[in-house]
Amino acid sequence: MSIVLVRSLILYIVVIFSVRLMGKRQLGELQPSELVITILVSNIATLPLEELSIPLITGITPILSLVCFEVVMSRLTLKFPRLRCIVSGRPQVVISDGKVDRKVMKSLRYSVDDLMTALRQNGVFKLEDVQFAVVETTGSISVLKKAENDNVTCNDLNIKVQNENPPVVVITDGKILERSLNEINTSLSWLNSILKKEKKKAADIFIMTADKNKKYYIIDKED
Amino acid sequence: MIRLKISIGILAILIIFCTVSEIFINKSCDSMVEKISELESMADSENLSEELEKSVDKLEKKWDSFKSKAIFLARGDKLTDASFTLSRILPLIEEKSDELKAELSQLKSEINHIKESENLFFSNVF
Repeated sequence: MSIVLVRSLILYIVVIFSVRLMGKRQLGELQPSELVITILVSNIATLPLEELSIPLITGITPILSLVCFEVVMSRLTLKFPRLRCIVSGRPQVVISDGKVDRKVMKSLRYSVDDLMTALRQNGVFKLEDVQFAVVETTGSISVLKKAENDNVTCNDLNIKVQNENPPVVVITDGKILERSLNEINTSLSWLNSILKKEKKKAADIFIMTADKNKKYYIIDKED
Repeated sequence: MIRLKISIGILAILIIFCTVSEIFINKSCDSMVEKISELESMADSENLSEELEKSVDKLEKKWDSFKSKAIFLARGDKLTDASFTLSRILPLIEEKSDELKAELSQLKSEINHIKESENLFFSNVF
């Protein structure tokens, strides 16, 4: 049993390393080849755990080699657009100028139910509100609503607003993140002055966020 | 770019490792098969049982040394089967049994099987 435990730990490290090597993507944004590799890696990782007579290297080698092939292939697809088309395909326009393209839907084997589900997941419940819809290579749908059905923006109302960068977490569970302070061009002395002003200690704070404009927000541990 | 370099590095290491392991298994298995062939010819002569025992002893040491490394590369059950067959050889020599040649032949075939199953043959890939 201890063999299984140690193998599990080693394979866990190898799989985490492999996933990190592949890079950051959410499950819904994976290209077909990335999805295949992800599924394969998860299945291969179980083989040395189920069959103890198989050497561990027999499980690790295919995992690492598949992931490395994927990284090399993704780099090649960046350089050669034609290869990208072969491996990942092309986005397909399924609604253009408000009209549904039945030919494209047929070629994608997309039913009306699939289309309506995808539109609803994009927050669109009426087909007539859609100006443009594209089925991406990941299988997801991107939707552009008609101008009259789209949300109003500050630009539409001629309201001038200042652009803001998102806040970063500077204190988490009582610990100060100095890297975050550098990101928003502030220093530890500024943070200490705020804590002094608020009469709080870093150890008592659950989350503190701050942005480049020195606006901050604090949630205490007691809250 | 870093990911690409790491990936190419890992692939290079894996290719070198696979090549080296294949060469190791091939060489070790070939030398053991040669040794077994010598044992088979010695087994024909009835008066050489002491020399046969010494040769089998040497073969067992060679096998133990090979097995300790091959356990990381080849399937454990194949190595175990060959170990069991090898362990029967010495008692058969002591008993001057008729099955000695058959056991030697089986051992040879098992070691060849270990070698062939690790080689990059078309039939192994597909």
